[in-house]
Amino acid sequence: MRIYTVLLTLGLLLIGSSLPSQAQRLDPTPGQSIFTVRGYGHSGLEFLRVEGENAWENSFVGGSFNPIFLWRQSSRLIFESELKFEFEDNALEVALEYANVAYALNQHLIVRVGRFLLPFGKFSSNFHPAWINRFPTAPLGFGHDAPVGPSADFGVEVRGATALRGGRFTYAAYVVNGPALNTEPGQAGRLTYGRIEDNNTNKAIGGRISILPLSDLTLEIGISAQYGKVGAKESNYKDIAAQLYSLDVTFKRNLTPLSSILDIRSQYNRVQVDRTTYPGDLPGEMVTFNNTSEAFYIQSSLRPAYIDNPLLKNLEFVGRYSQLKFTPEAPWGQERSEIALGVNYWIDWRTVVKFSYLTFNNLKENNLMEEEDDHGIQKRSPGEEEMETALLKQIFTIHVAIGF
Amino acid sequence: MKRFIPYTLGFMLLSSGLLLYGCTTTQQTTAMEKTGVQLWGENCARCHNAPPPSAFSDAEWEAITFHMRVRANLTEEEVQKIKEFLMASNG
Repeated sequence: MRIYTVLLTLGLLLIGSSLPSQAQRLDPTPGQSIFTVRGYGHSGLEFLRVEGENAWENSFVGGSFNPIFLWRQSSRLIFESELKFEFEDNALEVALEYANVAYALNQHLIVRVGRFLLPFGKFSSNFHPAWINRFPTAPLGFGHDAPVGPSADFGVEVRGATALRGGRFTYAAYVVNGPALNTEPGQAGRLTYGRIEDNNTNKAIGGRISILPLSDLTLEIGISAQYGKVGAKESNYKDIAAQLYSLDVTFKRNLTPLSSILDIRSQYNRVQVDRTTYPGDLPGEMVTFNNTSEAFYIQSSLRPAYIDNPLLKNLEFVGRYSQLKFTPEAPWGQERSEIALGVNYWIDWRTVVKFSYLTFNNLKENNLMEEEDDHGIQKRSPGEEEMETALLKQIFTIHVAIGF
Repeated sequence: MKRFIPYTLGFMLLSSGLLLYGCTTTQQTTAMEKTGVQLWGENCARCHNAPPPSAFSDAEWEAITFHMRVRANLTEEEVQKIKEFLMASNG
């Protein structure tokens, strides 16, 4: 595996360095440098109800603010970075979503180095920004809680596209640090994505290909895969590997009879970690389970954008179903489904008010931690960290999202 | 796993249906033949509403179109046509 990683990395770098005409283009012509800040943000009001309670809690939520910095150094070189500011537990959290340098080798090939959004499906790389996502939350398994699949990582990538008859064929291949296997009791078997430092000498390789077979580019079908060892070096888990797959389909078309735009987005992710034995919660306890996670969502929206009524043409009706199987056999595993319905009002092309109702079905919740009851008897109860999200039953939100 | 099989099959069936529907109703036009305005509408709308040319200055369009070439996997020729349209329409 290691020799393939080295060869692939060298190959990606050689593609750039072997082109004689590229070196001089790295030096941008004076006056070509352009810096701009774009981004997005969202905020709103949430009403939520948890499992077993009738009362609704409500709160204004700060949402988040994501500035995107773009430095275009020449017609072939650009640096891009996105920060994320958000309030978590009454404290400001700052995260670096991505920061990378992209260089256009030729008409059909771009190489990127740094931390970048991985082309693993389309939600994390293209649909997650608040003003693009039709709901205020990500589908189950596609957000930061219980993720099934990576969203960003550190490494090198080549990507590009070429015309295919009337449509298009896109391709991307990358080498990154890859996810790390958690072996601590209580969380053993979980993968941690996007680590700054690799936990082993093995790199993960992956990529995505997609086809847009129609000349109007309204349909895209993509397949993604990633493979790499995830155990820490010199540990008992050093040979444990993870295989990740994704299938995504998007479709967008004008429906002339309805004077509307139909937008369908869907994705299926699967993460499979080699079967092994982990330390359990209790002293001396060992647990073995099938470490496979799956997440799926399908979303459809309809916007009557071509009718004359100025109010109705800016409305958008949207529905989403998502399901998560987050390693159900693990002590921390869970299985949930979600149905979401919403009506969005577009103030302009990049500003939207979302009225959303989300309901969750908690099919299975293992997330158990050891504690003693009043009589000193050990029992298991949901862990505090994820209890809030795991027991959510219903949410109604009014969110404003803006791109800028 | 058993629950996911019907969803996956349904997912693939939906894809196939959409593909067949599209192939029978779309007139084939190659990317070379497309105009900047056509490429602007088709490519931006794949993820979000298409921004009007007046939304940003010409200099900002230079950076944004490069950024979107990477993000949306566009070819250099397509980005060039889109950029020329946006700048020409920007007054």
